[in-house]
Amino acid sequence: MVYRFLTFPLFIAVTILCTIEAKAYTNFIGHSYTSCLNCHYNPTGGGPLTDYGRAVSATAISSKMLYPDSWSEERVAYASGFLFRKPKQKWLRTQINYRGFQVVRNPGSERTEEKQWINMQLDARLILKFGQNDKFVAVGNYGYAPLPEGVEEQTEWRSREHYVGYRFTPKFGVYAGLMDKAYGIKVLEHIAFSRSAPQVAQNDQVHGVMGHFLGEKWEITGQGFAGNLGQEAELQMKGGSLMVERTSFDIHRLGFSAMKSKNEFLDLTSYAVHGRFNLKEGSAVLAEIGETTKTTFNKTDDRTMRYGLLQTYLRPFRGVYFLSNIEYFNKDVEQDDYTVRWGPGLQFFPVQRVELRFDAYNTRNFSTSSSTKDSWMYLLQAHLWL
Amino acid sequence: MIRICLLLLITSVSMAHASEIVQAYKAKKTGRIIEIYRANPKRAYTKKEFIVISYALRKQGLFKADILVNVRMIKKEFAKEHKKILADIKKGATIDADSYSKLLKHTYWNLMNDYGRIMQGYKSVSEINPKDREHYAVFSKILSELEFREGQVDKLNDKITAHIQYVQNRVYRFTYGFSLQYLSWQQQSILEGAGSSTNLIVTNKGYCAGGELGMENYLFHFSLDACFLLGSGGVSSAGSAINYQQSNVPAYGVKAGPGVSMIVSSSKSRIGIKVPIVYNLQELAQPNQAGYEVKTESPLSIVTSLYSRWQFDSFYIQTEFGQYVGKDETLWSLGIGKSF
Repeated sequence: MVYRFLTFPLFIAVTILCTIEAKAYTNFIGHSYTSCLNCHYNPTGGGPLTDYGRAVSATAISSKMLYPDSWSEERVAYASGFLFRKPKQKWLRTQINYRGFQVVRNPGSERTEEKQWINMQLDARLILKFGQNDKFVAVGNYGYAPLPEGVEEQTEWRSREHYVGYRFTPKFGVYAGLMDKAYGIKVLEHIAFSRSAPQVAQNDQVHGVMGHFLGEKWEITGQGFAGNLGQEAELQMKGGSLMVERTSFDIHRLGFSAMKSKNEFLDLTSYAVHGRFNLKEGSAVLAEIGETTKTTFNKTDDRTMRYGLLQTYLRPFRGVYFLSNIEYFNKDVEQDDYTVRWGPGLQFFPVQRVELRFDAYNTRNFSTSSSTKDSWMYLLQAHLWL
Repeated sequence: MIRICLLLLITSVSMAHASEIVQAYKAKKTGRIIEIYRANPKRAYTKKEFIVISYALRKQGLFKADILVNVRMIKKEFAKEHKKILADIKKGATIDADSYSKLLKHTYWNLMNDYGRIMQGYKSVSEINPKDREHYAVFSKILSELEFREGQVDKLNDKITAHIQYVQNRVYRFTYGFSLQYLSWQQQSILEGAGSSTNLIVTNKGYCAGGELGMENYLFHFSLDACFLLGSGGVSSAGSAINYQQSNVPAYGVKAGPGVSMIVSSSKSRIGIKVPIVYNLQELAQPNQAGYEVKTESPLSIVTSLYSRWQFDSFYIQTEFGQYVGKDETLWSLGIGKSF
């Protein structure tokens, strides 16, 4: 019954192990936005933007270079709505979102270079909101996502998220439906070890209920989930997560997360500590370190993984961010071998609705038994939204 | 009789000037107004003439001359009111803004703007005149007390403060600092055999302790840094012709070079580039297999790297990622430091 309610016809949950992008810009703490709820309907970030979030994107994040000089910030903000219009009513919002990229693996290698354009995401989003301060919201996000190699007989169209939320007070709200798990820093990179190891990446949404508290200093999110109900029952990861953050020195955030989930084959226990630091004028540093203990039903792949993330966004001009992405991953803490992935990048918002991004990833393996050549990958990404 | 004639002559000349100033104003000839004023600056102008001259001087950007005109006008026309307001401000008494004439308020406004424009013209620290700042502050305070154009006064105050700060920030100052970096770097070596060769992959990790000297203003940082490398690494052959493997091979050396970075936030976080030279000494054992020999290329390499630093007061965290010039090898580091 609950399942039917949550997957109403327009947003049928189709489970596929494919790649979508968690669209959350946690680095915007550099613009003094400590909580995701300022700009997103989802209190943990990602997904559709609120009207305020769209205005911030237009007036603080994106460059103003393509607007006429005579346009005030207020006018730019008004033009940030769907199809460049100021909404005529309060209760309905629509959004369209596209993201695609060219991935180049082993660039420069005559034998092994691979180039591929991937349409990562094409979403239509519908938001219904009612009451004072939009205390009731219903969000649906349906779209295209490519299937991973080898997966057949599944549709490439799916519901990315659908949920209803009610804020009993500005400080406390409850949300129910298909959502991302509340765990760690929701960085944009879906290949990040900090997202893949605890299984909170782009295809790991779950049906569940989330309680969210937002106080002066503290932000606490608790979630109980029954897995993705579109999956076969034995694959559904059931469990719960808790994420706690505290504002420090007025502008930084320190936090921790814990999560336990299991299905018939796998049991995962994860915990992490993280920090988001405001370097002012839009620049920020994100850091997370955590461990995931994996227990398999046949005991063949039991291990504890350790990961670390250090990501910088330095903003020399409005609309431009230089990235430095450093990741650490030890797939088994009992072993000394580990991997470090280092990636400089550039993110450019020439105008609201357009994001262009370049990322380079250099992966180096450290092993006691061998020394291997680094691997390289480039990503050229375009993200458009209406 | 002669005296009367002279008086009439002076009066007629004076009246001719007066009418000429007004006529020049009506004809929008500000240059002419200034010419007339300069020909006889000490003459007792009327209130109306002062206003016209002040207008002309401001229009021509002659702010210092305009200050003199406005001060003269206050002394001549509003001496009593001016003394009263200064005394009231000093005493901290309540000021009835409505009891002061509108023209006096405008004159104060012009004076504040004149000093503001003069200060906005400062291009270097040596040009900053404390007297200008002092006088500006006095007129700004008077206008605030008179509640005259409050929003504009605040806006100009912010603008002036920002400009003075900008001029001061442009000055380069000497900086130095110490840092400790954890880094991984590579070394190019070849395993040569009879008629064939294979690359050796040498990946090191270790620490680099050192310091930097630099010059920095609010926007740019030019530096020269150096540190001593100490670490070890593993070696493997890239090809399958011969199996060569070593681990924990000690490595030491120096990494030194210039860099330039752009300061992107008030926290002094920065991004930039560095061109360090890496001198790496590492002795690889010769293989047991006869006919093969390890050849290490020059221990000296030049690296071009991207650099970022996140400053928390005087402490910082820095990252560096670079590629060796003309080679495939890379270097990266993550460090902490303290700057002075």
